[in-house]
Amino acid sequence: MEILVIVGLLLLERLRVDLPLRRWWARVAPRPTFAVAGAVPVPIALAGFDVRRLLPRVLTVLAALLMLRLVLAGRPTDAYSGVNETVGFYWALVGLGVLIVVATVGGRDRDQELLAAAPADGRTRVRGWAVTLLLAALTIYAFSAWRLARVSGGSYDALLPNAWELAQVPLMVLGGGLLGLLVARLLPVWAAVPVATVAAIMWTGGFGTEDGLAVLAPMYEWVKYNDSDSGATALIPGSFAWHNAYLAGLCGLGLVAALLREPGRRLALVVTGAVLTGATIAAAVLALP
Amino acid sequence: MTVRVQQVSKRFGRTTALDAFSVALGSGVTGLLGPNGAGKTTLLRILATVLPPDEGSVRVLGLDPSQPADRLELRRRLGYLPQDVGAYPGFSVREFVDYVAILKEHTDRRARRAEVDRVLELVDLTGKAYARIRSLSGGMRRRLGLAQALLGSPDLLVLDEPAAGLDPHQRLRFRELVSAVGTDRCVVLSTHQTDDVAALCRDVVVVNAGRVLFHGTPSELAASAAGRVWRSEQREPGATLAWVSGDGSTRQIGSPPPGADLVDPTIEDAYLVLVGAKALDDAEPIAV
Repeated sequence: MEILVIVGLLLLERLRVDLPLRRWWARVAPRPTFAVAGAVPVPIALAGFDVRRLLPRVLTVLAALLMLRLVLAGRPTDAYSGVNETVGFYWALVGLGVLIVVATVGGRDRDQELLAAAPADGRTRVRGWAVTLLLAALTIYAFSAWRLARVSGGSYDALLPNAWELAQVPLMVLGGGLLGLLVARLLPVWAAVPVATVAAIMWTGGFGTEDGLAVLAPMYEWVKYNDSDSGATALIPGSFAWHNAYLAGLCGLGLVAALLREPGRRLALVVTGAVLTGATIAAAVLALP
Repeated sequence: MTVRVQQVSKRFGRTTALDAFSVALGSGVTGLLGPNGAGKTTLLRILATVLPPDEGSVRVLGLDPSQPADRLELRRRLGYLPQDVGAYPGFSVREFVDYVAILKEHTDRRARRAEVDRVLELVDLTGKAYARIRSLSGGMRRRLGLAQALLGSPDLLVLDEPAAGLDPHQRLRFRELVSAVGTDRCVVLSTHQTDDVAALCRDVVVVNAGRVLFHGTPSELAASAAGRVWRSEQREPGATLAWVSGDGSTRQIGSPPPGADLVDPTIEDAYLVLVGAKALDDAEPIAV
């Protein structure tokens, strides 16, 4: 079933329902249309390009509708919903969606001869993706903070995340995108996208929720619920904050790996990668119960 | 000179693509002629900074592509159309040119929009701006490749078989476009179309087996075959190549017999004299 859903999402992702609309807009729009004035660095221009392309995609629209539904929802009635709406498991679907989209389109210029002669090199293009994903992560963080403000004030307030703990979802989206970028650049076969998606699901589910190692999964729900009184009874052992530091380290490693794939000087990246590896391992150890 | 290539060699495993290749090119349009595997594409890739040479030196627009700073500056002043553009099928025409424009550091969105409009107009693709690339014909894709190469009015245009797949009208438009660029800038193009060379090029370089066989003007190339092309009723023993032309006579290239009816050679004749004889020697005879 999951595979069918992933294949369905991949097919949806390839639809370009926006093109007829863009053609129409180009005909009727007054000139000059809105444009950001002045030159900007290439990675930012690339991010703008990809945001304009990806915003009208079916997957993006579905994700936006999901967020809109949350915005319009009232205050949750129990702890389970209160926690889920800010840092809950279904946000993992957004992370998976970003992984799928980036893995599908992020390898478009791999070994592209035409672009090998362009002034902006492969690393600049990776930085462009990083800026795009950072924009997505910041948007999700802002939204989560807004939603957190709306859901707080209930009996479950003690269980809600603080500002740093709230970063789990945006970090997961950033990491999902960077993982997608690595898949696109290192494993340029169609099957790699569903395989990576299933692997990400197994990475999350495989650790289990009750086991202490759950904190090493990308998505870590740290509240233990008691269904009988529909309230939260305890926090699962382990540090949620260090879990986020561990995720941040993984994101950094993903970016370094994507940059190392492109030609250029490597020493600084290798040193950065080594430092990040140490920091990520340390954060993982500190996150464990 | 805009392009100076000295004693450049490039090998791919046991295959020698360029063998101590030297050439100097100025402004104007230069055509590279040669059979498949002659080394034309390798030379163009080296000029476009996609490949480094194994040996020898290259200077383009006064810059040394082996130096990172010079290479970057050269890429800023270069327009490159590879043999296989590899345009992304899911992109629209406008998106693809826009994307390449960003990678060519056109990062002011308003100016970039105007530039993309300009090059799409130049190659007559404005009406297809919002069509997906997968829906384009081969000729349209070639024009799309040409459009991205023209972004930013580059000082050097490197075009690998730019006219392949174009219909006659589009080929004329292509000639008009390239000749306009070539009036004050350098254009290097490879082609199998000798009539494009005759119509467009100030210089022609005939390449075979990674070496220069001829470098001069198209008229000099044609003149180099003087006395080697004749016409008669039927094929003569000295002909390396012969075909029945439209007027019913047999046009022949090779060593004419005494008293043969010599005709003025074309560039194609001269090319065949230089390259074709060798190729024909290696080929099986055609049974008719």
